[in-house]
Amino acid sequence: MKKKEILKYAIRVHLYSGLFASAFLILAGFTAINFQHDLLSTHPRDTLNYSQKVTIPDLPGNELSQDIAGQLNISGHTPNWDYRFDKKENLIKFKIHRPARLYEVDLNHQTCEANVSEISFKSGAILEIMHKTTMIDLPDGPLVGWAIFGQLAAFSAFLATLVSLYFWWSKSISHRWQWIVGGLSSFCVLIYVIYLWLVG
Amino acid sequence: MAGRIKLQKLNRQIHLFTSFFMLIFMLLYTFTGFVMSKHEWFPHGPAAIEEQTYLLPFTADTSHIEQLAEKLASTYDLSGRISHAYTWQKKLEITFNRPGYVSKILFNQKLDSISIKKEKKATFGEISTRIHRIHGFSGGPLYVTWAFLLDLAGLSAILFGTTGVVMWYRVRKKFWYGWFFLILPILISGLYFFYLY
Repeated sequence: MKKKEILKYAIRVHLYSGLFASAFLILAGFTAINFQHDLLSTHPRDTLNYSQKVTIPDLPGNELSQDIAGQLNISGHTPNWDYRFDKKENLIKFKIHRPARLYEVDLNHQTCEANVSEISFKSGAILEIMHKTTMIDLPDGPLVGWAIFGQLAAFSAFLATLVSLYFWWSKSISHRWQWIVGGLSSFCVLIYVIYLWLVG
Repeated sequence: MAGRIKLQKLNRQIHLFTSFFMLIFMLLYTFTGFVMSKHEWFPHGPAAIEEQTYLLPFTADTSHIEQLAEKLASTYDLSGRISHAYTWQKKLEITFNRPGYVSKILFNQKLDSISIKKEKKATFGEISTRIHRIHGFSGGPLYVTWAFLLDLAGLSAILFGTTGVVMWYRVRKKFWYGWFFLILPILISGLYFFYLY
């Protein structure tokens, strides 16, 4: 394959993979800055209260909360530390965490009723979740879809950047100083990371 | 016309320079992000915990916790990002955190003895996760510098993405497939945002 032809394909790969990754890159860049500066509010936005009749099985802590979450049709995490029995009110209390939503559940053994407070969060929390949920493992269609998209976008960005290395390579004689700057900065960051890991 | 060419040149330069800066961060974060998303593929297990109690060889001055933490670090050979908190029993706890290693110093009420709990979980997956999650302007100059670099990398990602789209827009007629590759991710991101809202 001639150099000109390789360059033609390289431009197309760089362009299309870069375009595919652009929205995610902008989102990832903004949320990375937001993690450090809290530019957008991540506080609760709204609470919706409702009740539902459930069957209460004889299960220990976390298994019970998972079973009730299933009956409430909520897919989420139920950490052990959020589970408690309130003797005063005679209620089992636990929380279900899922991206940008928190469900506080009060379970009444006598009435077999689950009182649910569904808390939704402001846009800052949603954007942060969009950054994080590229690695979600909840069995929920849209979340899995987003995780796959996020991973594809990251791969596209990676590909676009690698192809741009080819552009530099093909013009390396006239752009030698760019190689030096790029190489030096890469080396410094690498040393920094190793230092953070080994020494801290 | 001349102004437009200058603007195009500037756009190209920004794209190029931000890509320089972003390259290594993108490689790092894509790689560690991948390791995080596929954590079950990599060796993992419980942390090795070591706990010991010591009588303090000096008087603890809790009015300057940073200095106290540094003194403790050099005495007991500890390192990492320093943070502190008070437990519900109002006992001071100083934490040293670095990828794979966490050391917690818990003071007793009289501040004359400490208990040091060292947690070692230095698996490849855990270290990658910790490196990926380092953020925030606290914990000393080493971490503040990293946070500053992270801000620059985030800004570079925004500029790199935006200038790339602008460059494609100029040649959109030739590379009209680009509309599909541009609009699809925006649509997916918008729909997902509203799904979460």
